[in-house]
Amino acid sequence: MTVADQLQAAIHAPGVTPLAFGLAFVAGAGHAVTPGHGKSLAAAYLVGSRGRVRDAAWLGGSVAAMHTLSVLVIGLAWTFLSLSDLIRMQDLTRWLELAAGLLVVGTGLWLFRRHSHSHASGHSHDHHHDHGRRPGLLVLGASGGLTPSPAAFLVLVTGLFLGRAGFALLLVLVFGAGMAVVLFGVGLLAIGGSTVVTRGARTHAALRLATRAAPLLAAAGITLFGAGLTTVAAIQLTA
Amino acid sequence: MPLRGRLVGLSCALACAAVFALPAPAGAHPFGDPQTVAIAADPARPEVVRVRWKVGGLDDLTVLGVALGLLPQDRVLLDGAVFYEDSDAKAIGPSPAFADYLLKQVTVSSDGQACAGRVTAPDDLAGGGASIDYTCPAAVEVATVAVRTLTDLNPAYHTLATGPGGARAVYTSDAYSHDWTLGAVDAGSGRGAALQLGAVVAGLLVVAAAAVALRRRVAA
Repeated sequence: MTVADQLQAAIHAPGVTPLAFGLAFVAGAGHAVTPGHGKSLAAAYLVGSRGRVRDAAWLGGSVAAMHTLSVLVIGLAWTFLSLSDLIRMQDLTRWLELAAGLLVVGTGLWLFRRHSHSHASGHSHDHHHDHGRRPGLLVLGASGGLTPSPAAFLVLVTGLFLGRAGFALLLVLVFGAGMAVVLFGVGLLAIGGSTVVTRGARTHAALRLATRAAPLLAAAGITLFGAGLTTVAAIQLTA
Repeated sequence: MPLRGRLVGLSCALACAAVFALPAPAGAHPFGDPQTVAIAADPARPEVVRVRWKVGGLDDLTVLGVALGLLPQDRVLLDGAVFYEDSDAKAIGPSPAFADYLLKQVTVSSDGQACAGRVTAPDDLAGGGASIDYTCPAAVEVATVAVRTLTDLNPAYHTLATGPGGARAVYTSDAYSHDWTLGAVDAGSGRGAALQLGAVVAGLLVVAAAAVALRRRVAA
């Protein structure tokens, strides 16, 4: 029995148990570890913009918040507004993936523009990232949480059908917290790795070059990745 | 730079690579609609209970077609993956085996007496589902509807059910029978959900406000 199946069983079981919340957390963390959710993108972004621990926390939080909102809106529309008569969930997912891809492309292009601007105006590299970092991070996080996880969607919809909407929403929130913790951890790893490289750059010319090129590489990587996501979603939609 | 620092950096990079390179789980189910049934009265015939069954993910339809012998066995790939094709619904919909399956897995009784079902050949099985009319011996007030579709293939399947007056229930392999009051008027099914969701959101806002207030106090 998978964690998702156990979570389903938990919403059917009477009472509100700590076990159910534990399962939701583990399912959320497990879901975030699977490919997607902008993990590599966010890592690239954090490295490219020399992110800090606080930025990693913002990243995890924005994915979780967007995912919870997405599950709630789609779950309510599916249950009460006959959303499935308008569009199949699989198609809706692909549209959301397309939107997420476009958001990522937008962030990549915005990074390029910011990089060229900061060079044109002759700013030093050390201070100009601090305030401009967050919007891109939040957009990346939002694109990572836009597509609902099947398990979380099913928990919410089942809760709505069983008359346990409040409990179901709490489980979806904890599921999001599980996702957030994994993404926060990935962000920390990326920051830790890039800090070590930056320190090393004081002594090695090659590393110094790599550090200088990192923002540009990150912008290019994010744009290309976003273009890839958008293309895959578009192909699936037209297929 | 000390060697230890470099080792830490290297292990960070390796850990990152491990996290990003995890393969997709082969058994992951794609995001799709859950299986549903809608139960309704027939205004013109008080002895009839109408049940509309609709598959969830379309690949479930393919799995069912293979299980009923209507589609070749090799449609289920070696790794268990199944890909739905439009021709599947056309092969399954009009077949007697499918109608028999529905009548066996979805049963209706009223006042302890079984009602005889008749499947209407579906025009659009994938999009609109299949409709079954159950004719009971007398006018129906409360219908006992049992749904066991797909749970014979995998007990993890659930069916989300809607009934008259906005009533809702979930069918599982354990809870496969529910009673439905056909003449029920809408009791405001969305109101309870709105209240519960509103309470959770309000609770969240209180927690967020408290966190902001606490931070301000610490900062001051």
